[in-house]
Amino acid sequence: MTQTLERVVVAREARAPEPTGAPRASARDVFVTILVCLSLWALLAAPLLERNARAGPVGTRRSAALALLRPLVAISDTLFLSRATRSVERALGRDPEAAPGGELALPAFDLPAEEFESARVPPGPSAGSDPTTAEPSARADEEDQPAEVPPAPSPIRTPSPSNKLRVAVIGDSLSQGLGPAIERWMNPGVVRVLSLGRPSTGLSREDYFNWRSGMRLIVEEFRPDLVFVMLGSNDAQAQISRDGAAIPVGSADWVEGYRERAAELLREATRAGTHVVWVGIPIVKERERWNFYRRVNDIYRDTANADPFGTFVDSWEPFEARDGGYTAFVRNERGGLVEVRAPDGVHFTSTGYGFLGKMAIRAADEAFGMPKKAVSFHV
Amino acid sequence: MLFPTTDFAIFLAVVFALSWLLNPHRAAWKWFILAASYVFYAWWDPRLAWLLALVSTIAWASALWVERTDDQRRRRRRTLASVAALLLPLAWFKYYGFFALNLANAFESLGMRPPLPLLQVLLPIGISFYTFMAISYVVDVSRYQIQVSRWLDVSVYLAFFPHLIAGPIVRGEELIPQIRRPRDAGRIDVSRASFLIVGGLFKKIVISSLLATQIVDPVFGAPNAHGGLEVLIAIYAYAIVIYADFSAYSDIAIGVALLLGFEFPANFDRPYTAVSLRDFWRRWHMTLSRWLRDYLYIPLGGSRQGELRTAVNIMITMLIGGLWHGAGWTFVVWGAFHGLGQVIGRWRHRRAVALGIMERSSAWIVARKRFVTFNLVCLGWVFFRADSIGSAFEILGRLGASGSMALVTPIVLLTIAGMLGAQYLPRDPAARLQEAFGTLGPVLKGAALALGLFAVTTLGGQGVTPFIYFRF
Repeated sequence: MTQTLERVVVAREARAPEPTGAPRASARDVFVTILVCLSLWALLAAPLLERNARAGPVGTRRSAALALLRPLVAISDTLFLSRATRSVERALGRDPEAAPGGELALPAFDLPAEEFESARVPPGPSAGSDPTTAEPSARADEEDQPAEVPPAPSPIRTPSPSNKLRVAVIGDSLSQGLGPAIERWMNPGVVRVLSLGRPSTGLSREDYFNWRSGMRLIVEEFRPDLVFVMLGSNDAQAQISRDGAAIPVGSADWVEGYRERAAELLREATRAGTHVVWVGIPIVKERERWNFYRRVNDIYRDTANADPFGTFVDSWEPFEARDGGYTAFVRNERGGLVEVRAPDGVHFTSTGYGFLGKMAIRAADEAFGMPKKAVSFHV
Repeated sequence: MLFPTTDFAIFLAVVFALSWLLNPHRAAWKWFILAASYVFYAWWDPRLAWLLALVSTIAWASALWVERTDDQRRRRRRTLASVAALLLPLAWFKYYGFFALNLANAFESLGMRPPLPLLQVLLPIGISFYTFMAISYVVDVSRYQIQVSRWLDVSVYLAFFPHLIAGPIVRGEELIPQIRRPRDAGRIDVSRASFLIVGGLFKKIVISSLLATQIVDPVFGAPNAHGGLEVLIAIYAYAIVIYADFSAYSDIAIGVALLLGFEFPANFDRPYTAVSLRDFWRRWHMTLSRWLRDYLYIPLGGSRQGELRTAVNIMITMLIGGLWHGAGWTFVVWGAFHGLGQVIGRWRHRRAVALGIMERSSAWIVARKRFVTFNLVCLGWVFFRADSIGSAFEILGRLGASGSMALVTPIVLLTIAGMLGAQYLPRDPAARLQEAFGTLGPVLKGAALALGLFAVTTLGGQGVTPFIYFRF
């Protein structure tokens, strides 16, 4: 009576799916179908493909892809297909002219309007002229002015359930793991965290995704009290300047440009009175990357520490092995061994991100004073 | 190489043309498809391509060794030794780190030095899949179900790129005969292949990515920041994400194989319409289920040695099935949960039979069973997705919490409802649509497919994340 497991499963053996009654085709016809499909798709998607190719690291592959795609885009334009593609993109709410990495879109945050308006602690450096309400042209002019020296920062304000602390986490894929960890260690009753990290981004390739514009948007729309920045792991590549020229990585121009971009990113937040914790790149498995990462970490450290509203937290040394090398394992607070690094040797496990999140929050507390009720662990 | 990339589209077009050109010349075809499969594999990470060759060679040599004796005891010993040899790389690459870490903590808690060094070993993608296929090949030879094949045939069988990274887990008796004989170049089921490939891309690039980014990742990443309704919808959404992701890979793999003239077994059959956990495993990852049944459950004694032993056998099978997915305690709990569920379901069924209670099967009862089963499966998915057992309980604990509902958007709800509803759609309209597509000429077919691909490209988000089952 009882069906045994094997009988039941045999009855429904993982068999080949029933073939349909659809007519079969010859290999030649299928090859024609594949060629037509790929050609037409390439023409339709040419603007998207070209944008994605432009986003690739400067090198042979990018050059070859662009050389192939430019004629395709021209044909697509001639046949008005690219116009149709752009219309579809607009219909989906995307800007076809946006950078290949897309634009930053803030998720819905449930803060009442009146609270939002009254929540800001009047920021020291820009209290007189609120940059968040300035016209774009005025803001552009303002960017050309020498940065004002901000006064000593006020501590991070004490939040309440009706007036939550606003925290944003930005950066590359490392920050995508840090964001949820920060959120876990915060008290959701009085803190709203937006985790806004974007993979494959950084400061080198602003033609792909521009974090300075992103930070401006975050400050204007979310008005964060505190921002955690963690990026740089993708930045060992040429910068593309506004006129499209490639600035080789490691050159003096590259270093100068990078330093300027880091400083401007920070200023976008701190001149509105937002506190910034800049989390450095951690030690990684590949030794070949160490030199570059140490150099950009120095830039982040100098930049963040030069601004009273900024602070730098080193994530290199805390995750080092005793011999100064890379390790995937560290001891937790109870002395047990835990795996903190992902197998790729760059990212962290969720436990590792938990450690990193705590370190970043402690750094915020040391530099600015975190309200006790905002944090769910003993700082 | 990832399926949903331009690289793969170009690769497939080239391999398709050359594969059919070489089709009549079997030896040349085998070498070509073997080389193409290694290129496909090494595109992702070339460092461990040698391991695939090593496992293929061990499987081939083991089968030869096993076949040389007809003495059953000796044959059995040789089979066991061969299986152990095939499991060694899997044990090292997938489980050593987990084992050494847990052992180190256990020894240290007793005040002793850890016996093994802590190492984080790079996991070669697809190793669990091709190892299980290699084992099935050797065991099938030992059971006289198939004959020993040449090294080249075994290597193509294990490395054939459509199934290489994440299945389906195809048996030697299914694939090796197809490898040996030229395929029929005049009878390609292009309709089914096209629907499987475009449908798979849609599930992966649009559905899975949308739900993962909109609700699943934020909620599972920081459950304490989300209310009960958000957590509940995120759990349901994850059930769709993992189904859309994994079944997408299987669909694309089966579709690509069809284009090359090969039939693979189905891997999914509307799993969320299951009426029990046992039924779920007949519908979910069906090729793994049958592998576990044929090479583990039945050799353990199956259901032939009494109820208690059957229960133990089910538990062992499901625990190993859980561990196959990953070296972590969450997977052990997930496997144990499904094992226990099946044992209880079996016990309830036997009890009903013993009491002479006829099982009614009204639409209402079936609907209730489906609802309960789906929710049990979702409960299991919480452990499968969570970073740790503590984190899984934290997520479940949030189900009663109040809080924000910002992530429960109409698009999220519609996507979940649409994907669940699609499991209940009759098969006929889809089959008729495929038949209608098949009557189109090759150019029109290509144009229609291009529009489908374009829709997927524009609806999908930025970039493509690896398939979830790549990790397994």
